[in-house]
Amino acid sequence: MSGYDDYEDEPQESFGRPFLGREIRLESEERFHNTADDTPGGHNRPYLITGGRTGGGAANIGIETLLIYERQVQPDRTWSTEMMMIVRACDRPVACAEVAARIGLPIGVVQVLAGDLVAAGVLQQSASSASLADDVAFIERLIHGVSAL
Amino acid sequence: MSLHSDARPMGQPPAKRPPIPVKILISGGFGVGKTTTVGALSEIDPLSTEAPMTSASVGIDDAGVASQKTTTTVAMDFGRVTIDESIILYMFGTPGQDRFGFMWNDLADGALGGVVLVDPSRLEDCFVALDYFESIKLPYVVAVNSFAGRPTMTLDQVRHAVNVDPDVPVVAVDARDREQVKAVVLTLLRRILARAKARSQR
Repeated sequence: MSGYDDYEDEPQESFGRPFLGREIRLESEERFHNTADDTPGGHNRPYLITGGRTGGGAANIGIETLLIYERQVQPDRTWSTEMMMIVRACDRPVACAEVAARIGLPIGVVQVLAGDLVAAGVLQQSASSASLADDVAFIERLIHGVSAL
Repeated sequence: MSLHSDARPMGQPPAKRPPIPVKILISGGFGVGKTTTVGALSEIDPLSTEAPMTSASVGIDDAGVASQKTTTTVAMDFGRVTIDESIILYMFGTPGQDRFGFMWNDLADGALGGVVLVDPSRLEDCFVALDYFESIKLPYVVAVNSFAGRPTMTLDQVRHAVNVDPDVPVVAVDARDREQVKAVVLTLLRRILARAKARSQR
């Protein structure tokens, strides 16, 4: 019925976790299997760490949305390894896509986790420039800035 | 709406807030020079989720007989340009093939404009990008990348062949040349400005 059933018979080694990062290991294979068994389609690996959620969520994090770490918020033991990686990458304003590229996570995963961190007040996100497309003064400033490069 | 539309008393410093990101898309067919274009202007080496081509893709992404390119962009490359303390420009090189269509909406959402790169010897490769930008009404310019040793067309010939509206700029560029890439981006921004002015007068 489900396409995921096809994976049931794969040997354990083939459960590659390409998006969990090279240095990161799950605590145990047992934990992984529990997660997979409890969650239909749980073999969809990258989104294990987002609880199966995709997209920017309520925070509406775009690929170019700038993220910055709110330093008054202390790191919390409950943050996942991936969340810590994101927070560390945001020590200056940096686009979501750049965070993803630098820490080696798929952009969709970073969008979800960054949305959580914004909602928790850990990260601040930039406004979108989309609403400025018709702002003559803003575009003129942009032209001036690019001319001066 | 302006950059600092939040109400605050005069004389107080603005609240610390992240700069505004400006996104422009650099699109076109495989091997047309998207990453080169991004890299020419970017202050960082282009970042990428690029992965090597698999053999399954051979024949789909034909980079032409003269091309030495053995990998293709399966996701996207991008670069960053800090304009000033409150504007950061990101240039996203976007795969131009139909089969990456699932990525287009995410990429284009919030984009200010686009550059469609054209290889005169493989004109048809840019049509997907042209069609998409037109369908979402994104301001764009057509930039004809000059490849050394390849026959070139005049800009008028390219304009005629790709059949864009008369007000769409068609310009030549050497994607390796920072000043020329800058000029293309400025051409795009002036087009965006013209549209903004036209709309504000309505």
